[in-house]
Amino acid sequence: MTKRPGVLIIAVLIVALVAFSSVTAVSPWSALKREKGVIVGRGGSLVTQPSQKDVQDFVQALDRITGRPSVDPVTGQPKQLVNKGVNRQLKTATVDVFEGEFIGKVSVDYFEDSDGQQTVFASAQNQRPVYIMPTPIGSKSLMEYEGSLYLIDLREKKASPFLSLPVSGYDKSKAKDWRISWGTLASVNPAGTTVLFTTNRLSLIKQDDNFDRHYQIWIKDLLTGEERLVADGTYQRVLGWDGDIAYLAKHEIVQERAAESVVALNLSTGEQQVLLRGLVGCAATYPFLVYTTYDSTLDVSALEVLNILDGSKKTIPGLKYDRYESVASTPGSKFVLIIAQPSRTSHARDVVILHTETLQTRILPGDEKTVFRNYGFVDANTITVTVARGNNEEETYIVGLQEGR
Amino acid sequence: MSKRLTGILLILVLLVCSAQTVLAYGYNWWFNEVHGDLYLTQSRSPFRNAGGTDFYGNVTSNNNQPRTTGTTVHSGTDLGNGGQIYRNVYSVFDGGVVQAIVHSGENTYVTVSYSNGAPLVKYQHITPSQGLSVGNAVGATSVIGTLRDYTWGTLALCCTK
Repeated sequence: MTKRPGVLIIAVLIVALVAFSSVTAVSPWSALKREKGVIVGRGGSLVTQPSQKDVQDFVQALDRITGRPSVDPVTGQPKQLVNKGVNRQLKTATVDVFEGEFIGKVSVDYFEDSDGQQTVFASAQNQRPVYIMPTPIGSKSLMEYEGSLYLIDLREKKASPFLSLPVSGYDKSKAKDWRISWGTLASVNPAGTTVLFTTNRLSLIKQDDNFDRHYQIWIKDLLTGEERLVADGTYQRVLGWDGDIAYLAKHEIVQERAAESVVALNLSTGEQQVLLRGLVGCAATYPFLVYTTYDSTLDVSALEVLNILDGSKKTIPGLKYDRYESVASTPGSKFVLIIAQPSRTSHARDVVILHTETLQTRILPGDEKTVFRNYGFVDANTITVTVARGNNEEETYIVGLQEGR
Repeated sequence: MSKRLTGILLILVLLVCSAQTVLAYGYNWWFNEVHGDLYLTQSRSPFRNAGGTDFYGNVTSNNNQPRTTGTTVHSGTDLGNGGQIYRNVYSVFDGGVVQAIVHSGENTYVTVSYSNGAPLVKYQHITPSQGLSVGNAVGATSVIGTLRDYTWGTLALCCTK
């Protein structure tokens, strides 16, 4: 009789322990680092980006007559759309773009190391899409702006053309009235010696306004400055490099549906080898290509891994999803991030983290009330996942990929 | 006297009116039609860059504009994707696919309904994505299709209640 309270307490503790462990088991999100707002990775660091509330404030502050935003009198930028560093101090600069004459201004954000090394990326407040990638050309960064490539010199706050004007008789000054991409979707090889890009400037001399018909793939040698045509056609993304081979994701139509194919392009010979066709999405982390496919009924999807070196293909076991929405990775990572839909008719989505060598998966389960806003890599072993739950207030989970393995 | 004056004024008014030609708005007019900020501020852009960040394309042809040929006005809003070759088109809200029309002509499209009360949105001139079909729940991170080649990077959005 005197032992009963003790037994009761032990029973309660066991029940509480079981309940706690079961709760943590079904909520792996709760163990993750969580921050308010939208946070993304840039140059291995964390940066806050405008939240939905910030965008809402920005729209409501627009002048109803002119449509112009109200700007900070000091910076001249809309306050609501300014990026902020999370774990490093972020600076912002305005760069003048020249092409013989002044053609525009772009805003760039950058981190600066103690040794003066700068990591540069596009600010959120640019009204036109701007892409920036690091290059081995001194401290300069490569920028795509208005369909052309420029080198940014942050010390001089100036950007100048990266590609030759003119090339092989194509004079860019004549391209103003044409929708010409002088250079787009550029990618620097890991050795830092070559820039691959695609262009439709041939449309100029063909005098043909079907610009898509005249895309070509070119490379620029960063050591000699020489530009060389590699192949006709174009691509959607550069997936990765292996010496003289570039792996490209190309757009294709299969059964009148949009899909991707993966092509290995030999940059010396221009020879192209189709590795995979009819994909919904794909990502590369050398030597693996991870991709999703559908069968001929377009109903059954699968997640597969191709080893480029030996050509072997494997299907990821144990995953039961109706649709895979996207696949992403980053150079040097052993992990691939997949957004998967358990049921086609449900808004719930899971985050699947796949280790490409072991094929082990880790799942962060979603639900109907969790809206995915953004996701991406910070570095090879860290991702951010931004979600909104019910009240549209975003929060970002910072996920260490090595944890929980 | 007053009857004569009224008659003269009436004739003058009729003369002035008859001299007017009813013209449609030209392309240099901006149609600033805003039907509430609620959906505007909640929505994502249908265009994202390769890193998944939204960017906002220019309006290349407004809704209710006259066309250069024919008599019907433009019943949608055309958005340019900034001349980019990256042509994925995303759903602007969480919603469900109610139509995914595919044929070889110009008017291939995906129509999405939204549970937040926003109008139905028809994403026109796009090729629907592989595996996308009627009844699919799509999210604001879902690629629903890609811009068709001949449209030179133009997406037409048509909204209806």
